[in-house]
Amino acid sequence: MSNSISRRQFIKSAANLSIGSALFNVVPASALGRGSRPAPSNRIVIGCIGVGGQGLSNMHAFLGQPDTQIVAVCDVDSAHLSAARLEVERHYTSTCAAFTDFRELCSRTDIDAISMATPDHWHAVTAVTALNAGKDMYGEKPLSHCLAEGRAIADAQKRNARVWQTGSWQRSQAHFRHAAELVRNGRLGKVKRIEVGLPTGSACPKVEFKDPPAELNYEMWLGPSRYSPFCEQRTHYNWRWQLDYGGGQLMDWIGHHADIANWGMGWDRTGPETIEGSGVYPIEGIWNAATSYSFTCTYKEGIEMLVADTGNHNVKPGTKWIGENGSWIWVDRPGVEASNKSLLEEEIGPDEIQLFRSPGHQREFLDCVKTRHLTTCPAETSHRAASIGHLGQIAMLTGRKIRWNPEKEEIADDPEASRMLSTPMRSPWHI
Amino acid sequence: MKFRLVRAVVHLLAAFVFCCVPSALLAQEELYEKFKSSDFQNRAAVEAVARLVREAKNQAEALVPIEEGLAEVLDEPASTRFAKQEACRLLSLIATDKSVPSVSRLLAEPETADMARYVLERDTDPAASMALRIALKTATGKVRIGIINSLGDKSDPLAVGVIKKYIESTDAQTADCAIVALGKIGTPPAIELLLKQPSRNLAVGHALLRAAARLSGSGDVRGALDIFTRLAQPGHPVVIRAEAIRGLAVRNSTRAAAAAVAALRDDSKYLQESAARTIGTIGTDAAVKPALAEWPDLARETKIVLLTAFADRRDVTAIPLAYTAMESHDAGLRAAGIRAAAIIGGPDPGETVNRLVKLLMHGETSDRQTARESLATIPGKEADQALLKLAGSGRNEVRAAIMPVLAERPTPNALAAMLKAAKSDNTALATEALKAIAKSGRTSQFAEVLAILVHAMSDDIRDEARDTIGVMIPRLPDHGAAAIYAEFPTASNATKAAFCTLLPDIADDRALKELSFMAVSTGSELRQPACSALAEDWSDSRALPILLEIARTDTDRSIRVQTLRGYLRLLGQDETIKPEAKAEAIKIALNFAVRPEEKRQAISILKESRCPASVELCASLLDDKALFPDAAAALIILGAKQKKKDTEQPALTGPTMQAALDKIIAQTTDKAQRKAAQDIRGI
Repeated sequence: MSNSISRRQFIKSAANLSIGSALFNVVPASALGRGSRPAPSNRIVIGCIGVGGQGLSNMHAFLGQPDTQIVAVCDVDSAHLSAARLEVERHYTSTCAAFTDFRELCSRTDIDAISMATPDHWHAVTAVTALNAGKDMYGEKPLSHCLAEGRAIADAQKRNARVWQTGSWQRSQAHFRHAAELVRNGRLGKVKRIEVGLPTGSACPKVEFKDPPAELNYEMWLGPSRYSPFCEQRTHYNWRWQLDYGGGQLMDWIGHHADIANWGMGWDRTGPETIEGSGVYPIEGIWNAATSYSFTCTYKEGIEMLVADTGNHNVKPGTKWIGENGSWIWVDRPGVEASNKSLLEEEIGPDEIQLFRSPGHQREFLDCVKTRHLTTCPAETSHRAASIGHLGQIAMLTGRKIRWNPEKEEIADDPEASRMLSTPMRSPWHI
Repeated sequence: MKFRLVRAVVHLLAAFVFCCVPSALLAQEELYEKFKSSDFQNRAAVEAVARLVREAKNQAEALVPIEEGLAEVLDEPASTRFAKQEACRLLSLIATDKSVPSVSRLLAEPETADMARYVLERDTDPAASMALRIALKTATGKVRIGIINSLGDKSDPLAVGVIKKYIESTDAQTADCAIVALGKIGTPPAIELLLKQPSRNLAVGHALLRAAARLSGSGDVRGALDIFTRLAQPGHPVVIRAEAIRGLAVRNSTRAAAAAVAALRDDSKYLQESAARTIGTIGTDAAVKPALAEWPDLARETKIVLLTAFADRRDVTAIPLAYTAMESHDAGLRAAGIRAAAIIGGPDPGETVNRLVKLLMHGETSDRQTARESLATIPGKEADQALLKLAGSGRNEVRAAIMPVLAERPTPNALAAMLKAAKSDNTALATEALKAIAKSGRTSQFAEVLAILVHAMSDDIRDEARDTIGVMIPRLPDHGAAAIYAEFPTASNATKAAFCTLLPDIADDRALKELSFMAVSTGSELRQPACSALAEDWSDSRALPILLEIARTDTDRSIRVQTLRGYLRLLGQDETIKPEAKAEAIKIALNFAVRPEEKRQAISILKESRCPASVELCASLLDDKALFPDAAAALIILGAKQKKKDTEQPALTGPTMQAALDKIIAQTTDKAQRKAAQDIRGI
């Protein structure tokens, strides 16, 4: 028999302790499970790693759920950290721990689940550490910074049987689901071609390097990535335009529109067989991700998926599936369109393929934490979406047609391209 | 002749290449010289070499000079840090044993050790591994940790001996990475070392799990199962035990069921829940039967996980548990039971449908919602037939409750059942059915829904039919106009009143004519809805004359107010009407506007209608105390330059404006307003 205390028992005892020690304090009804909130022992205890930008938005979503309790936040920027902590404490009128090192947060045994919204180059180290510590994860897209890291995260999720939801929230929108269900159920006949339109990138003029601001632990921000001197254009938000930390607009959006393309095709466990294309990578300034890009992935039976930026190529933003007879369905955030409007009126019958009807992206994650059910966007699914971008990147950087084995996840006959599948990490980081 | 020409061209080309070789070499030398001084923002030389790498297309002969050139960058003490870093990045893609000496020298310095590792980690030549192993002997601190990590990532079996001494290092980070590296290497000697470590060490557990997976992948399943069995025992961290049990289950070990069932009884909920999920994946009698026996004593969270797992497997033996859970006092468990019952269906899907429908009608609010969602997706012909039977011949309350479900699963039979129910005399049933048709009905059902509206005996049914048609209209080719107009000659007043709501959506001349006719009729039964439709829903200025006429002449004050507001709304939103014409139209409307609310609405249009007439009108309204603040605000806007849709609109000036501004300055109590007026006046 294990002597360890379960996480929920820990919370229960912590709550009892606080009630006992603060005898004359007013105990909110919600803390006792009255009102609309479940009792603490039935809440999912959450820690948030990365609480600027998207991380803050995700934190708000979890704060808005009745059965969660955020107990800790973590960020390498103390300004982000203080603001997030203050907000959580105001929301619950109880204390919230603040960490600058994610490993401390992951080691807390009372935390059930973690919301992670760090720059891409931190995803794998943080995720694998958290999954190995037994945490369920809500992680931002794209899943990974390189293909091998994506595989490591997906394997760690499976190995640890943890719940994972990637922030590819378009899968939780009814019109995206309807479009994907129509395609999955053969309303276009056999799909011959898919077009995925993503935003166009931009370059950055020369910058001035300086000392990092006092509130930013820059060494920790760089983490597993190579050393580079600090400038504002390198870090918050802008990291995604630099290949050391992100993958440009391509990787920022691949986890949305290519993910939806995969959903419609049932390709959540596979990938393309060849990839070729070209991109324009700036050679001046610090931003070096592709500003213009276009590549074609070819799948089994010759189905092609074009991925390109909309500013330089003739492709519409969003996802478009084109059937063998020329009929098509297109979907993006504003809505869904089809070559024949009556297609969109068609409902999916109970005996057809029904894709999951999400009660909300974060809500679904929390439900799955309770049922241990697979989410709409488990790590393997998101790995396959991100892989499209990673492989496109390799094809564009080598200028060659890449031959890919999606089962073994190996590149054939191209040692240089094969070496690009993984990115070595700066010491002491590893996965 | 042709052959001679080709030969001549080949010779010419050869001569050209021969002449170019020295200059090409020179250019390359210059290129690497420039490379050495590259910085973080000037990557021209780096990109030029990267291009050479690309163009070499993995050809060893073409890569040799590039590898030499990059090694030279590393050997040069004056090379910038960025140059060395980029040289290492490119070498990491192409390096062979030739550059290992230059690269491995960088391992000695903390500032350059990481970049050297990038090369040696990716370089598959044995010399690269050897260089790392040699460097490890003298490395310290972060450099040592990095080298251990690289040897682990390379799964170098020869590294076990050199890593061995670090697994018990007093530096926790070093010990941790040595353990991880041994797990990645995963050879029998590495495993043997790990097994000697304390069983409570989480890092050791993960390393052994990784090694076991590696063994299994390489064909040694028995060796892997031995490790999983060992790690599944109490004494190891629960996270590791849970993983190990799953490891056994995934590899179809006969030991998995017993280990998982035993874990259900563990004190740790983490382990219980993980084991419950694993049992669902095993699915043999050896796992399922004992798990069912444990059911009464399981924690509610574990029950939820177990039910969900059984449901995923469509395990019919679990249907009694799902039914039991549906009657639990715990809402979360009930929801899991409802979902599981719907997914499994059971040996008798009809029975499951009946139970879910019972909850749909009499359950708590959250259960009704879950039951509805579950019924909407319950698969199989039997379930479909059971639902349709209830929808067609059940009690009216049951039929009404099922309509929203049918709307979520609109098969042809369900659509027919919805239409049949919509024709019922029972108001509750008919309105539910019409709502369902509005949600999922087909435009082909339009005529029948129109007939329901026309012949409705109840106001509720008529209203619902009208709303359903309202949803269908945008999808119909003529917006349903022909069919609706065909009904006008014989339609009752109640039906015509219902049509009033639909006509603004049709919005053709006939629709305006019918509405105008009804709006001036003597009976309030039609006049009121027609005026409302014109005033609130009509969308263009064709209705302006009739609205003005009614606003001026109707005997009912509330209708006069409503139509005047409608008149001003349409006037304000029509950007094709010139400012002067708008001001003139408002001047007329103000003659019979009584309430300040409509006058304020008029002022809000005047401030957007930039012309002298608007100034005149607003200035005249300054004398009305109730309107002074709005008129003053409008005048300040008209008296200043404004930007509208990227075009600069000039300020309106003149004696009227000046007098009005002076009046505002003198009379306003709003400081900001006074200041704005003074600014325009230049005071």
